[in-house]
Amino acid sequence: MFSGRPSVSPSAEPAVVVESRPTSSLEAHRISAWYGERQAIREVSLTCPAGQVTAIIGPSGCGKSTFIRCLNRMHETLPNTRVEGQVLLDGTDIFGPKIDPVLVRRRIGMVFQRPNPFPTMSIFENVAAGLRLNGVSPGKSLPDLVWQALNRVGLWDEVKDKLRLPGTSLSGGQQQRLCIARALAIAPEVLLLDEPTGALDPVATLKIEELLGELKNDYTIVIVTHNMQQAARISDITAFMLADASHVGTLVEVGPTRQIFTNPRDRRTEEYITGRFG
Amino acid sequence: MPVRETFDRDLRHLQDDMLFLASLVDQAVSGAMDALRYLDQTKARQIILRDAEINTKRFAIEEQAVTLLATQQPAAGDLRTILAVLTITGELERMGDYAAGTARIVVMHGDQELLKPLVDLPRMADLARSMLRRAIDAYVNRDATLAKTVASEDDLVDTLHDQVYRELLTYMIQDPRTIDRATWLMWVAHNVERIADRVTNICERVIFLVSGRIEEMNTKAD
Repeated sequence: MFSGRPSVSPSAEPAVVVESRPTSSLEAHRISAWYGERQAIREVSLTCPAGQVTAIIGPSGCGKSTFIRCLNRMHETLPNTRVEGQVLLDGTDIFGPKIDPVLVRRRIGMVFQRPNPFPTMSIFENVAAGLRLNGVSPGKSLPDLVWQALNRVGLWDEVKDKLRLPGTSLSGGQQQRLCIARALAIAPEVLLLDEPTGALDPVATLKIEELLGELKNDYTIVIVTHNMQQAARISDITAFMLADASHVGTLVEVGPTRQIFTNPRDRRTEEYITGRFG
Repeated sequence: MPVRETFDRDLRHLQDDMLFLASLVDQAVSGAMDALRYLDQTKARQIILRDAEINTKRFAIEEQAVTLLATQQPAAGDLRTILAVLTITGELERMGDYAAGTARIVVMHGDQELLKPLVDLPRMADLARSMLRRAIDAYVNRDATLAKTVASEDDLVDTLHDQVYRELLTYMIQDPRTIDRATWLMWVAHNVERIADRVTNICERVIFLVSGRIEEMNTKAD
């Protein structure tokens, strides 16, 4: 087990940087999902372009979390669930017959609303766990990769002297950045975030938002948020979902964020973002 | 409980205040032209004094709008409404300045008579006031078509302005003793012409409010 500081000095010029690599686009085609007999979303199609932040907004119960969980095959991990449609990651359907869902989740990472560091693990081990599971590429060292990930989320300076403390000893905002570092450590191409700042105070929220702004150059980011100002601040594209009369979530409108927040085309979008319902 | 009751009420107040400001400005323009027609010094001084009221009202509206922006984080139609109010109140306040400027020209006349009976100037002012009132109607009714029609009438005001300008120039050439008084009337014509220009700016804001698009209506150099 790693103990103490990693081999790369944080004060020196970084000898190892997170590799910049082409990001991948994610395209959902007519995604429908069910919990048992109950249909949660119907034929949602959404393109999340590479290197951009796509925000999904909508009132509670509109199926936005269900939808995002379909994007890396998390939905099917619950019993009695079903998905129809296609999700193309750089053109390949992640629901294809020969596709391993574990590999899909490695390429498409996810961060949840409540920070969920592994409770029994140290800060270091929280980031290292996924790397150990997936194997460290030849020529790379585990401490270096952990350092890279913590540095990438701006957490290194705050935790470098307490890497052996439990991940749960950090503040809520730090825990959430730790979870993002954990997701980034295994070098995904897409990052899905389900209400990542829902449980955080405004300062911690701002740090996460700034971080997402930096990360979007290297990752395709999809974020579900209840906070419309957050969607307006950080996303390039906004999608609005709404449950129809039979309580099934559908996509109402998608467009450039600036247009959605200044001049939405659909009356229901206008009513939602101006607070007339929801 | 109705959602966003407070915000709707504040938004209504903001727009009511803007309409009140528009009526103050309309009265100021009309009063300034009356004062000029009869060289009524008392009335002219009143209009100059009342310009301060217009300025104060404009700042109060701006303050309300800024508070709404900061506290409500408006979006979509609400955001466009507040932005339109901010711009339109600025335009109205400048129109008030033109009315006060015209009133000052009345004061400058002292005990001198008007150079000539006013014909085209009152027509220009009537047209500009009619444009203003209908631009405000277009705002209230969210009527982009009316806004475009009103903006197009600026050409008529410009034509009258050219006519007045040429006429006054003739006076000055024929009799240099008229230069002062002719120049003053040219300033009045310029003020009225600028009022109409600012009405077209209001029309642009109405179109923005309705469609979300910013369209240039007044294409001549400012």
